[in-house]
Amino acid sequence: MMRIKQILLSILLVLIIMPAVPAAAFSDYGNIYDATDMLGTDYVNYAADDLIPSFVGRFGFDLRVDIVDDLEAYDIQEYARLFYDKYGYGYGENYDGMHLLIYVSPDENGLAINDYAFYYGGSGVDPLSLYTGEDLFAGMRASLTAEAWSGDLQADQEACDLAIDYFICGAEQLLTAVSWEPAAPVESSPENGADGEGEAGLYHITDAAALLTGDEASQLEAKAQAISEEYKCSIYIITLDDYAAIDPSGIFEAGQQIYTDYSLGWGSDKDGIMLILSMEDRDYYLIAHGALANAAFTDYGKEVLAQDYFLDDFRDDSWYSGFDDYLNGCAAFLKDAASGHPVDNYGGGSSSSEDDDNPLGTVLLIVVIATIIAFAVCRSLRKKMKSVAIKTNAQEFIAQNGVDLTVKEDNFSHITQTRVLIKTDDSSSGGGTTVNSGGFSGSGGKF
Amino acid sequence: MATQITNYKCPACTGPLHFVGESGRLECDYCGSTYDIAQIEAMYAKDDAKAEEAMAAQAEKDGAASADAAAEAGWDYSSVGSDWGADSQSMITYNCPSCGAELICEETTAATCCPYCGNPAIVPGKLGGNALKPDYIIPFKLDKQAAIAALKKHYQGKKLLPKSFTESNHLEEIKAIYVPFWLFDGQADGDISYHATRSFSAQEGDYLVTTTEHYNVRRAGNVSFERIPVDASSKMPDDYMDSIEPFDYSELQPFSTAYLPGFLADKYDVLAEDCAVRADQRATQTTIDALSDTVSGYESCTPTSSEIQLRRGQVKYALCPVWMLNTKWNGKDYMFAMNGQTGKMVGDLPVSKGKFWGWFGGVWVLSAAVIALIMLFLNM
Repeated sequence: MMRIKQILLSILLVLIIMPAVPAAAFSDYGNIYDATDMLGTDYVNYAADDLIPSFVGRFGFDLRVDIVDDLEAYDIQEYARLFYDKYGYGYGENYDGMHLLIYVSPDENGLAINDYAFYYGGSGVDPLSLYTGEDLFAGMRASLTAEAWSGDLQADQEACDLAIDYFICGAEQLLTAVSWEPAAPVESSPENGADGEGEAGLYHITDAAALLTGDEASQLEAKAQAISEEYKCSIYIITLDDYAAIDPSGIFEAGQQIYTDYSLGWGSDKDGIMLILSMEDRDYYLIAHGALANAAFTDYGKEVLAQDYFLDDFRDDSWYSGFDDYLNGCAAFLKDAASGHPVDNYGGGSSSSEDDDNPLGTVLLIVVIATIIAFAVCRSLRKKMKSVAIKTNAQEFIAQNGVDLTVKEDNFSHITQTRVLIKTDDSSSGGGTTVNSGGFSGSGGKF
Repeated sequence: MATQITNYKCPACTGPLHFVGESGRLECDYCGSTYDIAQIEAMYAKDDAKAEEAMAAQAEKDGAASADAAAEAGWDYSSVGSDWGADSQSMITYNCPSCGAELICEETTAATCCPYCGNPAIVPGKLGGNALKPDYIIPFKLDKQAAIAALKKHYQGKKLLPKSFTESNHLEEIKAIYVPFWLFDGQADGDISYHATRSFSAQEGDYLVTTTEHYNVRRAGNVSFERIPVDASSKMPDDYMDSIEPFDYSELQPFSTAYLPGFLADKYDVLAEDCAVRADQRATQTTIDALSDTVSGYESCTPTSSEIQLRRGQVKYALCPVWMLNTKWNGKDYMFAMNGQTGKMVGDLPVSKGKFWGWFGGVWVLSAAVIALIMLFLNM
């Protein structure tokens, strides 16, 4: 049940966040995130680059500031909690940290503040509960009022700078006052990045397009996790309504952005394979990253994985079956790669090196073709023995100029199109994987 | 089924005259005299004149009956055939009690056995008054030796033919028969709609995009037919008679008994009305094919609606020359038929199982070896 909750939370979060994160319209300064892309002052950069990292290093306590412009009618406290949990905010084993979420909207002068949330987000002792002195965050609260944000954009930026400054100063005074003892730092999870700071991965299954039931997502998540752990290569499934909401330049680019933003992958190489589905135009893309994943999922292998495992299911809208087949395919491909024979072209069009080692297939092919040829030749010889048959036409008895065509109409009706993925048969290249400068390889199409 | 044998007497020695296809003349077996057909026919002019009168009277009766039938069946039978007239006086018939065949020949000629079942006990009789005289005849051009040579040629190149079939094969019987045919003239009006497609492919990125253009195609027109032949003899297999087609109608002659000497002649025993069904079918199918042949430039073409209306014309009665050859092998009868005008030989041949599997094995081994070599070469 815990796993189901996590998946549902993940799905919910993606659904909420997607519209709030328009492509190339936000700024991420590290511990400060600005969805409006309008508040990036020098101070904000300074705070993100120096003040907060220094603070975290001194106190073992995380500070986060998120500025958003769309909450989709969700409660801001709930939304803030989702942010904190989902993105793995916090420091140490208790994920200690304070989070300031500011909700603004554009107005005629610049920005107007709607609401804000401020709280301790960890699972340990809340330092606010230990402190009984004067309000250390009064200045911050005063900077987050409608009056403070009522001026032009410059006034809004100043109000924001002040709020962040008061937030950092207030946190410093609080932790000093309560003699804060930082918890032990957490060892980096191989799936969450080697540095272990801030950025966290998505779950293996992120179904933003709501194609799966809760039980289905839970089963797939467990299976993907087991395969990922067995082969040290993370397997992901992402479904989206439209990839253009993330990066309109293409589904491959959108997938790379998700992979990078969420710091996906296993270990220091960030090995992983991601299947991303965009339902708007029924696009799919397989994206591999890292040396292990790129070796296991070659260019040819990705096409085989799509054609032989899941595309037929997706064309029938059999989502669970398709995803399950995808996971099975990933396991098989990783197993082949682990044995030193990744699925690849090998210059002969064979889908696996095992075929080359097995002469039975070749013998069977020769037998079948030879039988067909022998049958065709003998059938032709046998046909020559027959020369008697009833005639059904009278072609020879049409009078000279006996065919008089009176109507000849050829009217265009309509056009239909079919699209078939071309299986690469690059025998000269001997297969392999084409990896871009970002370490990604990909292959995709329509389903 | 009836067979008629007509003999002219040699003006010089009164011996029987035989038509020789190669020379196109009548020759006397006894004195060797030769005559033009026109010359002999002139000698029989008096008899013909009498026959004309009798025929006219009979034709009037038959015409009325045929007109009724035409109105019902659609074909015009009003001018099909004629009465034998005075010729009937010199004709006799032979009936075969074994297969039911009816043979007709001149009283001076004796038929020794049934040409179909070989029964020697055929019963002589008089030519009935209801028999039609043919409108046309195509004379024999090829003789018995030509038929035997054609059969040998027919065996050539047949890889699966049992060796013993050609070695121990002896022709049981060779018969030259004028086979009766109904010849149907007419037109067919067709109006057919099709769904046709044309496709082209182009690569777009990793995809092969195939664009298919769909068209609604319509063709209408009429097709004229001349003398679609339908075998009028129930004893003669339809498939054999269809297979020896076509006859060269440019050599079609008005019927004269002068062409009959030396050859057996069948009398029709399937009515033209009964044969008309096959003529209709062949005309209809040919019209469909002719209109479909005008639809070009498409990768697929499927008829969606079809309407064929036949405008049935005149029906004629003709005798066409056919050589029938019969043989036995392993207790089974094999029949061959040759077009006595064009020499086209047809007849199904037995298949040697040994040769069949021998060829199968040989081709299989050869194919397998070639494929293995090719695969070996490609993998090098």
